[in-house]
Amino acid sequence: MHAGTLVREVRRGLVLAPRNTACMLVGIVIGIAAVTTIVAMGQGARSKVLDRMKRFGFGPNVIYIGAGGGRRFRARPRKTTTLTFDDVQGLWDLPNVRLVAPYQRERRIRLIARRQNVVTRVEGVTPLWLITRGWKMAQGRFLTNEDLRARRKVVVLGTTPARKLFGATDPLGKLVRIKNVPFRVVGLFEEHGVSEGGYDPDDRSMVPLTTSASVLLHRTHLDSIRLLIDDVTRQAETVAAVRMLLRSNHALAEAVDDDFRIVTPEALLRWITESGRTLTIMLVLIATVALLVSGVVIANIMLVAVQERRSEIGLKRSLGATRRNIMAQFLAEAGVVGLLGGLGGCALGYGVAHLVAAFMGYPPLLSLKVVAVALAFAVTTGIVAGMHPARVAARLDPVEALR
Amino acid sequence: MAPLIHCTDLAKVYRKGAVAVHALSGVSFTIEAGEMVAIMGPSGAGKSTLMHILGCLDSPTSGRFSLDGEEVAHKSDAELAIIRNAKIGFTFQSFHLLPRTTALENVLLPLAYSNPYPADAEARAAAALEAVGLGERASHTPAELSGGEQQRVAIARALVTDPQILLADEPTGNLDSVAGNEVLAIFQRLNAEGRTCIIVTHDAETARWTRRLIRLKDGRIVSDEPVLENDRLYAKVPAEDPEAPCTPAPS
Repeated sequence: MHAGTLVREVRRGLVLAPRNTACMLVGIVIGIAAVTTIVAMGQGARSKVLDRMKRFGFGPNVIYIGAGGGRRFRARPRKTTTLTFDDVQGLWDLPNVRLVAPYQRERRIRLIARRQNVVTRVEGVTPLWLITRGWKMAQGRFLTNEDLRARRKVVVLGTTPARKLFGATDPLGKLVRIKNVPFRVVGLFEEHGVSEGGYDPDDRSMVPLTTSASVLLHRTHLDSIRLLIDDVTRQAETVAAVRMLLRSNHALAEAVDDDFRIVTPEALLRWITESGRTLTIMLVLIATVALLVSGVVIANIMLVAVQERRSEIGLKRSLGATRRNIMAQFLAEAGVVGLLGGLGGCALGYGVAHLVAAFMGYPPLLSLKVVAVALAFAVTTGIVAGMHPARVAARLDPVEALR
Repeated sequence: MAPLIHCTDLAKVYRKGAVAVHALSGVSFTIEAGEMVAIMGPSGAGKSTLMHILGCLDSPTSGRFSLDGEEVAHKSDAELAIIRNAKIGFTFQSFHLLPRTTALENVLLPLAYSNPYPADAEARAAAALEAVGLGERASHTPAELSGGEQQRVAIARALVTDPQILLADEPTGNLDSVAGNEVLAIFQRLNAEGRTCIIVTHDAETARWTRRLIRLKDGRIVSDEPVLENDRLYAKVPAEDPEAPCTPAPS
């Protein structure tokens, strides 16, 4: 059968009974939308996690200790003040610990240069920070032990605040006021660029931990501590030792939960794959049910349509259409319904995912691969559902159909 | 050369439960290429059944039917479809045009089932519309055409594959007499150009436009004779109307 005519006839078949077509589409659209929403959300979450791992410089020899209890690496439920410099001291003495990098920060602080100001993250760190993260300087130097000891008012800028404050001019040696305290710019980080999760690693400024504790944040408790260990194979025992030390430092009774979280790359990866698996199972379930239902809807509507279009079928048979031609036309219609429904479903799903994302705080991701798989499922559903009606149409006796 | 249509002892029996209905029995006749034949009879006489068999839409229960020298009585469904497409052009009482589809696209439809699809399909469809005087209306949909025009589109559709036989089932049944005469005049002209036309009707007026009349009753042929007034009717083609789409064919 001529392809152009097939296209035209399929279009005519679908346009001629808009209500039928709409009903058939709704089922598939909802089914595919449900699936794509979940996939988009899941992939968004996953990419955010991977993003975080990357930004944390999470190698296998890293142990991350976050202040505050709660599960794994999620945001802590409340401010905790128990992670302190004393803990840092104790950690240095544990076996297998190569280095300890304490960290405190405040998310939004205004930095003021002569004419410009910018709101950015201010972080109090030690010189080891650079080693644990593997960052490089574009200009100037990083913080030194000397800075730390003397509580110098020096700051290292990420490119984002540096550009806003100084534009194209060289920021080195310039003064920046942070909470009304003048800091001298001594270094500029290399630019890393905004990650696909929307996180900007260059939006930061760093001062010596001692300075931030005494002058800026006025607190000695930390937000996190990062350890590098020597022997990765002994990670589990090191984690246990860290936990014991912190619990005893914080005087936690036996029944009390940790007031800190220890996160290792392994634990993080395990969490990702675990949640990935439950997500997949749920997805397959939803997809199966949704597509099954829409398949039944399509089959029924098409079966009725075949009866309504008997004379058209009879006519085409009389003009020389074979049973295969008739079958092909109805299958193609069902397939196109599947395709259109799939496209609509992907669009709707992506939209819904964006809406949900607005509340969840991470952008949905819909890869081309997922779209392709969703479309393939939709088209298959359409064609399988159309099989029976198409066969009924093809088997119509032309003489009967013309009557 | 073998006759175009040769039927021997055709019979068709329908079973409705325990009752066997003999729609046709012992029907034999021959139609040569270039004839114009009316098949007439009251309803239930078996003329529709005969038309379906002649049109290769249906197979006889018994008997022989050869079309263009080829025995077709027991061919497969797919083979019959190819024969219908290549050799037979149908028109129906209710036109059976695809709604919301232009005249040109309606006429193109049979070519879609031709293998290979002709490269000049559009030109052929346009020429077929021209041949029924609707060249100007190619882009109109059935809803925008009068009944007579719709039937003429249907004739163009039947013509587009250049079939040997035009089979018309009550072609004027849904038309007023003026439009009906126009349609019959087209068949007459096409016949004069050499096309074999078979018109199934229950109407004696319509039958008189042909040259040969086969009467059926209760599934049997009761008479098969030339239409004598035919020549007079040729002259009756609306010559008084210069705008008429069809001019009388010289006999």
